[in-house]
Amino acid sequence: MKLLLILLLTTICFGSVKVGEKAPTFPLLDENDRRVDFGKFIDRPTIIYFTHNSCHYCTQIIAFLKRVHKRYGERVRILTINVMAKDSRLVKAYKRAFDLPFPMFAGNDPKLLKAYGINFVPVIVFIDGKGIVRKVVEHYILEEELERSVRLIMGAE
Amino acid sequence: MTRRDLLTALPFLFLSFSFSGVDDRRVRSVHLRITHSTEILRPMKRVRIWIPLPASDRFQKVEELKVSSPLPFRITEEKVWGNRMVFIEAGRVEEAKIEVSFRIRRFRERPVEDRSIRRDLCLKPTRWEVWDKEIERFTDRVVGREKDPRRIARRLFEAILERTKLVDGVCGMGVSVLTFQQKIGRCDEFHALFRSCLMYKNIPVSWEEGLVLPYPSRIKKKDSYEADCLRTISWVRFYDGKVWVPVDLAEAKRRPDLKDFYFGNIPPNRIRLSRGRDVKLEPPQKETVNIFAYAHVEEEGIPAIYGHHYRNFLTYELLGMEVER
Repeated sequence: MKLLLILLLTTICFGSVKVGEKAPTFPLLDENDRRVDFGKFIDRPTIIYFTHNSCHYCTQIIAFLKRVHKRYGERVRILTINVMAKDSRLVKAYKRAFDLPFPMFAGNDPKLLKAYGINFVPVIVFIDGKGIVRKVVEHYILEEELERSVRLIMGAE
Repeated sequence: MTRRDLLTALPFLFLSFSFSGVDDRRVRSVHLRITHSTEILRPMKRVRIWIPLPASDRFQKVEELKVSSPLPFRITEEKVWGNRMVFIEAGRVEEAKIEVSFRIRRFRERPVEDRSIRRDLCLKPTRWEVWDKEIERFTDRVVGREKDPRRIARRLFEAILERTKLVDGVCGMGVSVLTFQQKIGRCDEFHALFRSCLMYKNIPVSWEEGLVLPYPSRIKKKDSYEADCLRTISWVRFYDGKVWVPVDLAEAKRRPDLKDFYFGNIPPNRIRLSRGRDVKLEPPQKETVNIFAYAHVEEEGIPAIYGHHYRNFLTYELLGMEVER
């Protein structure tokens, strides 16, 4: 009951991606300009990270996500979406700059932004192993909160 | 002349050191020395850098503007709004620091006539401010039969404040339909929606953009901070048929004690760096620039990454403050 109430409150706070619902997915361009439905990657606990190039906090969060990847390996999927990128050029450059070990997609796509309600960054969506959104963080995240959120989606497996 | 006579004769009080407790509404101007630096953190190839420059206008007087750069630069001006900038182009850049320094006297904004703003441009939504039927219905409902532009703006100001939550620590994209749908945002989101609603009612609205400083009541003698997208601040000025009225909805939301004040007044704790959105820089950049309040850096035509390739810092020194008695 308590969990239900928390989920309900979180849903009220964030109007677009609904906590407790299936994460919407879209075909987006990857670093090789291939259009890939990122939904196919949501086959395990997944973090979707919306970012862009001009935000210092966003750059710091990339470092946290790399540490999550190092700790949990393939048990947690990390997908990054650059809302500034229209095609592979920026994505490729970004991945190279940070030596990203996880995928990044070009997210300058009005349909995607509307579905996830992305009007600012950083936004981090935590999805459990069943593809259900468990938490949405619409601001900078501390590493401890990130860790707790990862445990939340892993516990829901 | 007694001390009392002297104080009575002075319309304003000039303060120099301690500002805590100052009523932000009564601060007429602040006088500052500013240094804005852009630091290139790692070697880059085929780099182009655009750094916005503050211009003197009705509410800010910029003096002793100086650019210091180890790389050749030129000052350019884009054609639409007249925004000025430092432009640098280099085949290869190792670490570098470009500094723009100036003195500025920044005044409290209030409604004024201003022939420098083109009304036709202020009726054109950018790609992020195109409104939909829901925004039209909302605007019609809020405005009703009201025809007076100032009263229309005030009604929309109240309605948007009531329905929209303020968020901090994010970099906004300022998309009106998403702001309407999400009911949450930072300054760009509030102002994009306000602008869409007013333009729908055929009321011209300018977009003003800059970097924010601490409130006059909290400002220190000297300080320095990161000047990335989190430190930008936008506000708008709508035309009521006679004068341009400044409004800051996000600050009105943040400071309920100053809500009424922010409809028609903007305190001087900000520096205006540009006007308009979706600005085509000079020479033109490759990628879209949503707002122009900090350096835009491209490597081989691709936007560089803040915090990885470059960083901006703003350092201010408060030289004086003019407070109404």
